[in-house]
Amino acid sequence: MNIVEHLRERTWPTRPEKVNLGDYGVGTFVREGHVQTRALQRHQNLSEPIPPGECAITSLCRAKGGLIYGATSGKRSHLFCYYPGPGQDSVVDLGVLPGAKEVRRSLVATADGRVIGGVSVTDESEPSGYLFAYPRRSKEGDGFVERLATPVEGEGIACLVLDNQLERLYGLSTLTGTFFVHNLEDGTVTCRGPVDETNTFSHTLVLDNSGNVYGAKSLGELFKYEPISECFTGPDSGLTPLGVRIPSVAGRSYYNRLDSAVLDEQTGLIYGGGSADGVLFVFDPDTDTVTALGKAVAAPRVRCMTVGADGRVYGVAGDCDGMGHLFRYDPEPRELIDLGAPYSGMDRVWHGYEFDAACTGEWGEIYLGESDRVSHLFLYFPPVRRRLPAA
Amino acid sequence: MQQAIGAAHRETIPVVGGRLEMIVYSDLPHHDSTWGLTTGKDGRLYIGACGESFGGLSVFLLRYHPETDELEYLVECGPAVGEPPDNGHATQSKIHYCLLPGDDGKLYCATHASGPPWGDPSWNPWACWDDTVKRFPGSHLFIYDPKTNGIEDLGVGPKKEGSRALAFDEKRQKLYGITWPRNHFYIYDLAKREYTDLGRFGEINPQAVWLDRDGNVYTTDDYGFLLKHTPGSDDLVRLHSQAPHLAHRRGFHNVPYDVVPSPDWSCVYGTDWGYESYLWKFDPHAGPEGSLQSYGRAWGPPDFPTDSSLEATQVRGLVFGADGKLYFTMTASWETPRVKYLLRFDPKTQEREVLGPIKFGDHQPGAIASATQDYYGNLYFAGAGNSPTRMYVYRPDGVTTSKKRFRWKDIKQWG
Repeated sequence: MNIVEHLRERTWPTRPEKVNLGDYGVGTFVREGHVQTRALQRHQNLSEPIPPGECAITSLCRAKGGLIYGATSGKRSHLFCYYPGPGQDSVVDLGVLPGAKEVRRSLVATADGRVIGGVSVTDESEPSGYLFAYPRRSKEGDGFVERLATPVEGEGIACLVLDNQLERLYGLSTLTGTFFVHNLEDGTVTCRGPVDETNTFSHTLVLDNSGNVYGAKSLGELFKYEPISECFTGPDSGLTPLGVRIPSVAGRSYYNRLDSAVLDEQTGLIYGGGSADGVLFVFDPDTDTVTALGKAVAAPRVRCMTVGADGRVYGVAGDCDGMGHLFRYDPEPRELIDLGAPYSGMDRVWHGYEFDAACTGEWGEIYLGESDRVSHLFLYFPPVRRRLPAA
Repeated sequence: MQQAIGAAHRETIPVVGGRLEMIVYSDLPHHDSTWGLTTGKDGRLYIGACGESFGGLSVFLLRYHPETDELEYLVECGPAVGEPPDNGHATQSKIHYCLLPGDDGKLYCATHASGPPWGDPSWNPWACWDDTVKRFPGSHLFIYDPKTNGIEDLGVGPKKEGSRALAFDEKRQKLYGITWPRNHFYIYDLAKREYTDLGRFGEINPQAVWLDRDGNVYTTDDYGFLLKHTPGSDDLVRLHSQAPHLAHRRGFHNVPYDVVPSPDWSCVYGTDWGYESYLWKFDPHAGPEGSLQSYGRAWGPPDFPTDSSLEATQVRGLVFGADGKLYFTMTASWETPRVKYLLRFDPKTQEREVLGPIKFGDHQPGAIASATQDYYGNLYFAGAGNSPTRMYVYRPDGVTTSKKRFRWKDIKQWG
């Protein structure tokens, strides 16, 4: 039988009847609330955007006055600032961080208005990742940031958290997972040793309301660093395994890392997400207990999250080189929902697929750092909570 | 399965300077669009018959013989690359602007997505990205050999995505492609069998990626700014040349819809997939970044309103005729009947000439996609949006198969 004879005898598929596609079309994208983008350039296109290939936003923080700072990764790393105020609404590229290619999970803001970051990956000109500070009124040019310290020679900085009360930075090095403490007051760096002997630690740290620091070592087991331990002398690093693991699908803890974590300052609870299967969880520092909250999407990873002004947790779940979805966890009804893929109509029409940073703005707006070859700062405005109908 | 001559319904209408013939691929009753259409080195027309609005169809390759006026059904591509259309996945339903002829007589191809899985009425790539069954497995890159009617499957290039447009640098043995829906630019090295993803370069999917005579590769960003890839580099560089746009716009969505080489290959002519419907010329050798010249709106009154519908005017199917004029099709909202028209543009005088409406009784094409020429001077326009799918052939007066007016070098190696 030749192909034409075959075609004439072939049973073709039939078109289904009585189809209800539900929200199949636009329902894929965020519809609750409103999504916008800002190109990484001055408003009215007064500057070129941060170039493709070096604009992936991999760190975000909110600083004094509601300004949003970000750092990028790629061929070069830029520090930028978004001014949300009226008449501005604009991103300014503050400069290229010398010798830096990546700044990941390593940007924090001090109470006095400084922005401090850590370089995760360097180019050949820079042997080690360093801590830097951006003063609010910086000079331009090469010296626009001040170098603070190099915590671990030959390694980058995997993540940073800041205790504003103690004026201390806590971080991990990228290769050996060395836990370090940088005292902002006197400039000293103290290394407390590797958090894990197998180097399969997570590149995420989070603080609780008491100033304790949490991270995850191998198999996603949480550890705790208590600043009070620094009072003791002796071999104790102050890093205490808690004996609890972040959740994953059964048998997959080997693959699981603490992908992102955030403190709800009001409740004192810490929310986190695992890399292996994208399981969201809540950790109670008072009881050292972990409770799984579920998965927002089918894919692994919870790449970033932040607590909104409404007490809900917002984040992006989904794998690298995939299609991330914005999710929301509401502690009140204990509801985890997938809001959909971020899709903006202004100032750029743009589907956002890759995100690696998030923070909450002064008025409750959510900032998401896109981390693609061409990237934007995404703004998500959650819907207002509606009043209950009158009885 | 052996290829065979099949049925082809035909109708003909008169137009200025010749006649227009519609050739319907009657043995594919449900396939609804032809995007990829090219001329092989053997002088035959190769056709990608696609099925995208009906679940469970995979693309077929067909061949048209200008000398005998026969339509030959060659091979069903899905099963040939190990993906039968009833395997549950979104199907290998299309070859978009990814059907490229080689000097070796073979065709270099990439499949595309949008056809639903068997039994499904629709398919949404965003909704199915993480669905291990319903998702599109990826665009297969393959080589079709007309001598053996065989397909050499090179495997999946872009995973989970389709290939919208493709260009072939035969000298360097490289394919350059654009993915959909995420808009990544990729390179496939045929010698090394190596796939490289250069990453995302925009939001709006350009319908063309093209080459200059030095092997540089071009497409545009979302605002019509030309992007250039130099062979051996690992990047796309934005040029200052921008596809022309109306004064009150910034050029959003002015990615190329169709780009063809000039007859002497010194430059290319293109049109936008925007609201402008302009014709333009890009000379890559004029200055360090090339030079782009606008010819204004392809046709029609200069002040016709920019329609809110992106697909309203559809300037498509660009191809040079043996008379040195640029032929194209366009929908005219200001004309009666309000259908697609066949036109030609003289680059020397910039005059436009309407050859006639493309209307066969009650039938008018849903869309015209790509276009190509045979060696004798007939011009072929791929039709999309009608079942069965079809093509339209402009046969200029005086064209016969006894005299060749084009040669292999006139055929472009991009979709």
